Amino acid sequence: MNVFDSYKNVIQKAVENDPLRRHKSVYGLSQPYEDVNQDYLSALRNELPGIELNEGMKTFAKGMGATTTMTYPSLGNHPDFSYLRGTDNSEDHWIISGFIDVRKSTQLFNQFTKGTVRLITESIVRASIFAVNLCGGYVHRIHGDGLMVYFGRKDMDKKDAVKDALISFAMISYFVKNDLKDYFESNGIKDIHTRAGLDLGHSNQVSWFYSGIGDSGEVTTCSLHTSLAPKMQSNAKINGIVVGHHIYTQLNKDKYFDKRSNPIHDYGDGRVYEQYHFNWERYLVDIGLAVQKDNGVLVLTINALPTPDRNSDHLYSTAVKSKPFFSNGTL
Amino acid sequence: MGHYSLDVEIKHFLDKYYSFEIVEYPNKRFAFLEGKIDIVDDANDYWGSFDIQIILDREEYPYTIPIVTEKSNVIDRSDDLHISKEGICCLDIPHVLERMKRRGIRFRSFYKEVIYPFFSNYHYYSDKKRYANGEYKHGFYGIVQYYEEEHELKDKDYIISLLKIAVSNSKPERNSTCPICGKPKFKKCCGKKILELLPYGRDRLEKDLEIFRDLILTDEKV
Repeated sequence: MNVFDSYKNVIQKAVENDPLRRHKSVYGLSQPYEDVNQDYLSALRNELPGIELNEGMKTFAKGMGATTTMTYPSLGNHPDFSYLRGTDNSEDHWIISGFIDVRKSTQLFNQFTKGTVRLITESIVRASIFAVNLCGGYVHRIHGDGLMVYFGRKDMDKKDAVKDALISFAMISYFVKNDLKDYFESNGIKDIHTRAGLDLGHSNQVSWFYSGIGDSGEVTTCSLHTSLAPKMQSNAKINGIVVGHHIYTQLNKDKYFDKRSNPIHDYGDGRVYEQYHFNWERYLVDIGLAVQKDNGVLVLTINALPTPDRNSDHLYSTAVKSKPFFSNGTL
Repeated sequence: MGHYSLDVEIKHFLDKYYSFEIVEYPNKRFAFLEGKIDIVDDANDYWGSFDIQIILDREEYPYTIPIVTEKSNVIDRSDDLHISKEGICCLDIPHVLERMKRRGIRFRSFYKEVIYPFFSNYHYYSDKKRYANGEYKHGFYGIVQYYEEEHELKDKDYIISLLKIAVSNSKPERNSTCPICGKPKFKKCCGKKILELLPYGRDRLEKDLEIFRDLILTDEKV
């Protein structure tokens, strides 16, 4: 089940038809080169899944128990707190804040025209928005190829929101690590990866309010835990997710967490707030959203159900290593 | 090869394959790994999983062959599917396994190169009604087939002559006349074949000698 194939295919087409790349291969030059393929890029952009999901994504969404018709609310205006827009009011309510972005992506500008980079970024952002919405999250802000995201609503259980947040960020990390990294490396873009941070603030720790003047503002949160999430993100390993202690206690399964040696925050009164590396690959496998190949690499699945219309020719490379024998127990 | 600690190897394995865990049993000599092996093809399509148990001998490792048992009963207990009634999987012909054992294995490689292909091949067989790389005949006819395919040895009398020398304590000098074919230098004729057979170990070769002698007797009766 290659749920992100539509995004990956657009990126591949954009890269393969990039004018600068083709110009270099002909002239061996590395110089600014104008986009001459605007029509092609526009057509390619239309191939990206929009509000209507493709069949593979619909199947995946159904398997996860999510709706197959996504609604994508406007940014900076969380639906549960949008009533605060333009007011001086505030409301205390728990929320999970998350930050994720793609690192080393500025290299893209060295290899491709800005039109191609735009389409690559757009594909990554749209795939990320899909993963967030699929898991019931809310995209609060977009910055380049990075997202600031909230998970949690008034009508949902906090533990469920934590699981949703972890699955969503795990899926985005999977997309970049498994679907994009090798392809980019084969095209001269090295070490591209995600880093993510997630933290939960309880209701007495989060204040929702409207920040800004007139229309120049957003409904946002004031919380230590919203502020800590990007700090955790900067501590994440390659393709890693770092989470705060509140996330750790909600999931309460040590096997997924590795405590970092340094706490993320010192309260100044002898208490500290801990941060943890989250083993998202183990988590995806354990909850049946991924299976592992012979080399341990993950592949997304739906409740570990076999892929329909699979072709046994694709088993040959591993199956051919085995030549079975039955000894009758005497040999 | 150097000596690899099994515990370190298992730790690396468990850090990589998340569906497996080590299970404690009273007999500490053996390490028991239990978990799920997922079969995924080159197109990243998923075929299914098997619950399996892998038993490794701590004392003998790396000079040991893991015992693999299919616990989920996905595979019918049939000789044709190379599995015993108890679910023990016949991963390969004993000669290949014996050679691996004598050289020493690294468990993670064994999982990827032997265990995983066995289960992948099951799905290949289920779909195509043939194994990707063929199969050996059952019982000692499989051994005969192996000698023919792997060593291009078909003549049973000749094989017996080679095996007799291979298991004897005193081998001919490399530059002496070959005691089998009579050519001037043993190392340039039958000695080469014997060198191919030695990695299977004396026990294995003695069994093979017995098998081929029995076959000759059977042929004579017929």
